[in-house]
Amino acid sequence: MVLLHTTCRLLALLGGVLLLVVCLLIGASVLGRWLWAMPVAGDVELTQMLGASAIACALPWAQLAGGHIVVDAFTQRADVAVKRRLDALAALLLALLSALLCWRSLAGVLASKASGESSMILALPLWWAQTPMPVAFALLALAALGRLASQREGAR
Amino acid sequence: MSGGLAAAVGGALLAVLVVLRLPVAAALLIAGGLGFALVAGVEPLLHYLKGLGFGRFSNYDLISVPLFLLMGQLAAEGGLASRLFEAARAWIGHRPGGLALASVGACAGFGALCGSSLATAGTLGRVAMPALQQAGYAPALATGALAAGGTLGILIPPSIVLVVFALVSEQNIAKLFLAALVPGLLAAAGYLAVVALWLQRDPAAGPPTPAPSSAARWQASRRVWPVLVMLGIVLGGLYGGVFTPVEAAAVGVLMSLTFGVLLGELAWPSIERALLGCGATTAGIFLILLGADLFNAFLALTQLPDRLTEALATSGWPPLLILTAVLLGYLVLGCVMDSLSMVLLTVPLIFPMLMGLDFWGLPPEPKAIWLGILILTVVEIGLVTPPFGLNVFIIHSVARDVPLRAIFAGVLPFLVSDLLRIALLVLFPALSTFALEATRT
Repeated sequence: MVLLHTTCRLLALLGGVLLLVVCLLIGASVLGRWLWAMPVAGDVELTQMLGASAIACALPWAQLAGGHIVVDAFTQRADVAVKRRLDALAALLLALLSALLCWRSLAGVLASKASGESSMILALPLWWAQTPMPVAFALLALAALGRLASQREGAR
Repeated sequence: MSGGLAAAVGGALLAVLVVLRLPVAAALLIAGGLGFALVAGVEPLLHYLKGLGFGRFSNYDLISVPLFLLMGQLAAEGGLASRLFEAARAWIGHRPGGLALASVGACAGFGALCGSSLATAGTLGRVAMPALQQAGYAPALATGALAAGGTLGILIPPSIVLVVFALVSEQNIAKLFLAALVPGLLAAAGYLAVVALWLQRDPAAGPPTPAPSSAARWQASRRVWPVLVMLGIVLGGLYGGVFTPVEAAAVGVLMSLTFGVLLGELAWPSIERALLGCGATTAGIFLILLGADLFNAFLALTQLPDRLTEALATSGWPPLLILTAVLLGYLVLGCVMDSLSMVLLTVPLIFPMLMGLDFWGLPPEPKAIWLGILILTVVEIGLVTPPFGLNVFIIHSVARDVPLRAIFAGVLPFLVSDLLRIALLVLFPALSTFALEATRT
């Protein structure tokens, strides 16, 4: 559990650092365009690829840091035991969904790699930017299961 | 199963799952996925899911969401909000009610650096609440001004909700930001007026404090320069058409980081906090975006949006009546839901419907922009209405001794100004659209 937490946290930090890299790239491009009428070649597609990776890296962290948006208006007055059961159900469903998305996005990466899909200007292969996706969903599934396990312990 | 029936079943399932405390993202994925499979089959669903994640996350305009969030987090960690408040306080804080005015003013200024209301309320709540309490302000006024002022974070662009609205309704983000500026300033002016009126009726609510020396006044004013430089470059570049919104956000992140480090306000622990906070919020938002994508793909398959649009356009009901009903519906929904989920869940259905009606003879683009500003304004009110106004909870967390009931009571006069503003915006679309005309010529 500690290992899982550390991994998710480090991955989220990596995502944050990637975002800063995107900012530097865009900053350089804006400056280049302004001073020498020469933006960084392929800045848009690099932003897209790095940005998508950065966002994917943060996904598992949402589970641990409570980043999910939940409407608890209707269940606020419900019994604690009922709420705990509903939260367990939510964690289980989220784990299943993440597993499904992990499988499908992995298929997406493989299909992209097989077809040699690449970016428009720099001709970079796209699959490497898609790879964080299945990894993130796998970790998200594990994080949701971890939540389920720790809840059961708490209930005892 | 027919399209209409499938859409109804999908919508009902979604509502049940959301009510049962499932994360909104998961509810959307389940209802959307089952519906999609029902209408189109399992095989096409599995194929669709392959590209869903990357397709959504690599949308260029959407990258501005985490960047604006990060800019706000870094600006808050770097003490820019407190510099703004201190400067405003140095000039008007000593007057009766002046600290409440300074709080609203600082919220407006910080709202231009930050795309989120919760972050604005949280940051200025921490900065201004101690000063307000020390000066003996009535708790209802102090907390009400901060909770309402926090909504300026979204109302004054940049605004995460507007970025998401632009995406769902396929409108231009830069134009929406431009159009939101005057309504946002109008909101700030309304809140300032509420504070002034409050003081007139109850002078004891905001007692005057000793005026600072002119040396102290100038020192506080000088300390605000990084904020002014950032506002000038980020907003000037954005509205001047030099930057795209994504570029403005990236430049804003770099500037708040550089200022924070150079001024000695940002060290690694606070940068790390900003990165992780940004990550958690971003991930929450993008998971919902993912779910909304799937659900909307399902809705489109059922052709429900088209049919509803057609039915309403030929119903002969007065458009303004329909619009009023929709806006009231948002106010009610806002009592139980957060603004972003509301926009993502309803706009795909509501927006084409309203676009099919005629309002004041507006051409399509100004009409779309105007509707966007109206929706933004009403969903924001949900942040301060009972029983689940998130801004109120955030202010409560920095002013534990003020009961929630008192904060909601304090917000009430500000709500009146919100409702008046909505009426103005509905009756005078030019308030939202004239900025577009001005830039076109």
